[in-house]
Amino acid sequence: MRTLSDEALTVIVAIITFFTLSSVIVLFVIAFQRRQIRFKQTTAQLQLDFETTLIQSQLEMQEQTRLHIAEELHDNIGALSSLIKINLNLLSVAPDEERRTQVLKESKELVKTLITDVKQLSISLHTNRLTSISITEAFEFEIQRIQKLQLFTINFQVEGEEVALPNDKQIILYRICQELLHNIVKHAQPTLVTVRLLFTKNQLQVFIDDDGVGFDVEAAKQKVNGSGLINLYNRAKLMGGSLYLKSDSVNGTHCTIQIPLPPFEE
Amino acid sequence: MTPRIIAFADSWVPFVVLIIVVILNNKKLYKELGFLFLYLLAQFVFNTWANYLPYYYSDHRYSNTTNNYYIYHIGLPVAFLALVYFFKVKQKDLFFSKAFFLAGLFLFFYFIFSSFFVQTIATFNYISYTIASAYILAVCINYLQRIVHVDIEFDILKSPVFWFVAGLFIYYSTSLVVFFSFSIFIKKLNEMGGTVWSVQNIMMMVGFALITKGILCAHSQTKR
Repeated sequence: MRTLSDEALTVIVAIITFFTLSSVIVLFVIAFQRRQIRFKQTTAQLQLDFETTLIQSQLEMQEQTRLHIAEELHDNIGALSSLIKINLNLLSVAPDEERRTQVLKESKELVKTLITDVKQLSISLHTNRLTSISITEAFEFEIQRIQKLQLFTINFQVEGEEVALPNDKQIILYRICQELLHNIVKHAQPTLVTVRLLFTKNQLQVFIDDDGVGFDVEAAKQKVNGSGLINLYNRAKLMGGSLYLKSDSVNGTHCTIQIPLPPFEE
Repeated sequence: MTPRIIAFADSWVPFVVLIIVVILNNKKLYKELGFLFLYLLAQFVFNTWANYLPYYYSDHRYSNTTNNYYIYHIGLPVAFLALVYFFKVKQKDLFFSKAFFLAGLFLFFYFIFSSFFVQTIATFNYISYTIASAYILAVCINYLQRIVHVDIEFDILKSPVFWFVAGLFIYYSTSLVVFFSFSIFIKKLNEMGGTVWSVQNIMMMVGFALITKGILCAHSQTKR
């Protein structure tokens, strides 16, 4: 059997080496490109999920805003208008001038209140107005509105140095808290509500606590009409943050919202 | 003794690929890949001619009395020009398309010039083969690096051009070693030639198998 010369052996080893090397390069290109495609597909899916959640949340917010307007119109504006109408009717049957003057004065006061309430409702619904003020001012405004109902006491505290939030985040956070407070008004029957804003270096934490009757959080999530609660979680996620809810009949409800602050969110 | 199936692989491998092309009977393929088929045809014709000639004159394939080197002097420019045009058509980047085409044309004329004035017709033109291999590798590397760096949306495993480039890249990276080694071990060319060619032919089988995969990809795409 013929043996290979050293030269031939060297060349054969070199051929095999180059063959292996070129094959590895081709395999690397295939693996790299496939990974790139997978990465793109995952990113596109995440983007799609994000947009779907965003649209869902926007629709949910719009629905809640409509409900809020309806409630305000019925409970407040409607009631005041009825009162004004009754007063005006009283004018025609008032026995003397003194009584008519008194009814007229009361009516003017009611109209004044009505105008103020309509203005406040307009401010609370107007997105541009919400973004033209700070998040603390927006909270103060909403709390004042609720306090006027005189259903319970609200403590409002701000800790740390306030940092301006991007407009979209400010609106989302405000709407979340607005909904939480409205839920307290409607369902919790508390005597004391505490709203606390805590600005730290990296994040803003909002604590909303009440001493009301509480509710079963997990059961509420499972309900068909409990999508509102799920949406609160989703909206917090949209801001890159989170929402924690703890509730029982003894200690009431405690809610914490955490969102990253602008310089660190990227 | 190298098995004949391997020793003559450089003849039958391109022939088998061409037979597959004929069996596929897809006219669109001829239009799409005409230059590639021309390259395969050149490989088959000139390799068969070069393989057959020594047997015709002598019992020994690499007999000193038989000189088949002039066939390689004809075969190289023909096969090379077919590939140059193939790459020109398939290259997406306008700059590289022009640059490689002009460089390819220049090399084509150099190979002809070299056959008369550098490595004459009576010697094996390994310098020209080395340069041609380096050129083809450069084009392939350019294509592969584009896949890594440029945002390509499609799956390359379904791309015929990728398979052609992968096949040519693997085949010519080993060819480069073979032809370059001839410049070092020139005095032992005849002695080592048979064994080295056989190993090289195995690499050719791998490379051309990938090219066949590319042809089948192109066939399935043009049939849609």
